[in-house]
Amino acid sequence: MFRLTIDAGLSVPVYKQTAQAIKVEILSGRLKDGDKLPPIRELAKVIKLHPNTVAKVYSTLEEEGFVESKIGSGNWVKYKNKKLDQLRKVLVEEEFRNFIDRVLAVGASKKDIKELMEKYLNGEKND
Amino acid sequence: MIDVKDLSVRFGGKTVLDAINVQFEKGEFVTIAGNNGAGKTTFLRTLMGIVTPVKGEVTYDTGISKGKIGFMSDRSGFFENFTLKQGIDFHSRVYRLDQFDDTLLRHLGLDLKTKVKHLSVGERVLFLFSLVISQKPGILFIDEILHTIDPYLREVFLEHLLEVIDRFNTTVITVNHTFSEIETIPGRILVMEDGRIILDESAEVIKTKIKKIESTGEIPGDIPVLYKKEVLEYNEYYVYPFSEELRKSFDYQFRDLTLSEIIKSFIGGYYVKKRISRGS
Repeated sequence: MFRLTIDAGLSVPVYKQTAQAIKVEILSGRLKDGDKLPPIRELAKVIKLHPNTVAKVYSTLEEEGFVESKIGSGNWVKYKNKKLDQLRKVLVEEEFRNFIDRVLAVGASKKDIKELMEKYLNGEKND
Repeated sequence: MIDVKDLSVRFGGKTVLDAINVQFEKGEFVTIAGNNGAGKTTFLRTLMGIVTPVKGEVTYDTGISKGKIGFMSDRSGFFENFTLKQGIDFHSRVYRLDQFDDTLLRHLGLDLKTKVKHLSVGERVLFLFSLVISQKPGILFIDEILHTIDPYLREVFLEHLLEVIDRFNTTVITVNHTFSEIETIPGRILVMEDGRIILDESAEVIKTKIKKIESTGEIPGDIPVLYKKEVLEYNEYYVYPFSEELRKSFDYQFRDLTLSEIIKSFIGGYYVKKRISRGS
């Protein structure tokens, strides 16, 4: 079973947070195309959510093209690679924006950011 | 499915419930919060028909029989001298149960010959819950029991509760002060004050309507404040109703709150009003 964490202190609705966490599992490769997702009742018990909320998570993911629901057999991870690339792009940019906001908040200048980026990106390359 | 119209209850001349109007839908998980004495427990007991209103009425969907309504409270003193077996037999007759679901009792390793009065607080709650589960409840009223049981049993309780909800599409109405473990479960929050419902919102919406500001100085009067708390050198302002317009107009950080913090600020606001009206 994959791990999901929900931040009860955020005003982002719980079903959205959970759907997002499952998408991250898919991007990271821990959930693969064709994997079976836990039954609603089981996932509700594990992450302590109302079964209706879990059902909404799965239907949201289905609408977005990451899950296929088969009547009588449950919910399965199912996506097109193009869809996954789009998602990766959105999430990477979101993470990047958050990161920039945080370093700006502690007083980094644009010059600092550029220099540090170079340093760490090149450092990783040399490893 | 539960329709409450103009419901009023008085105890010895004191109005405890004041013309309450509200509807609950099938499968909803509703949490009722509010200060001590706001009327929460009386409201639950009136919904169940234990307390008789002086005015108004509670109507249930025709599809629901009395045997499908479960009730759990820390005050349910019942069959103290019975053994668990006798308690189960009694409950089965009263509620006409087909069979008793002993999953929880086996989980706790409880012997059916044990007397009810010898159970721990947590074991009592779970014994009561196993009786309620056996009713295959369509509606479940839970009055303030989560905080009485230890963290392990609380988890066992929650897991079984979620399973019951999934199996029977149970409508759950709980009265709660402590939220930690169930923060993310309720879909709808009611806050009561002086026998009235002063807030009735989906959990999703209420989180967008209340925010917190921390400020060393006073904040402008056009920011609506529900409750102000002084903390060391600064103040916490709980802003309600909040709208995104405020974020544009004022240069404050409006922070998100947990459900527990939201409830606490409503109750805190109530006590502040009370102090002011008493002139102290």
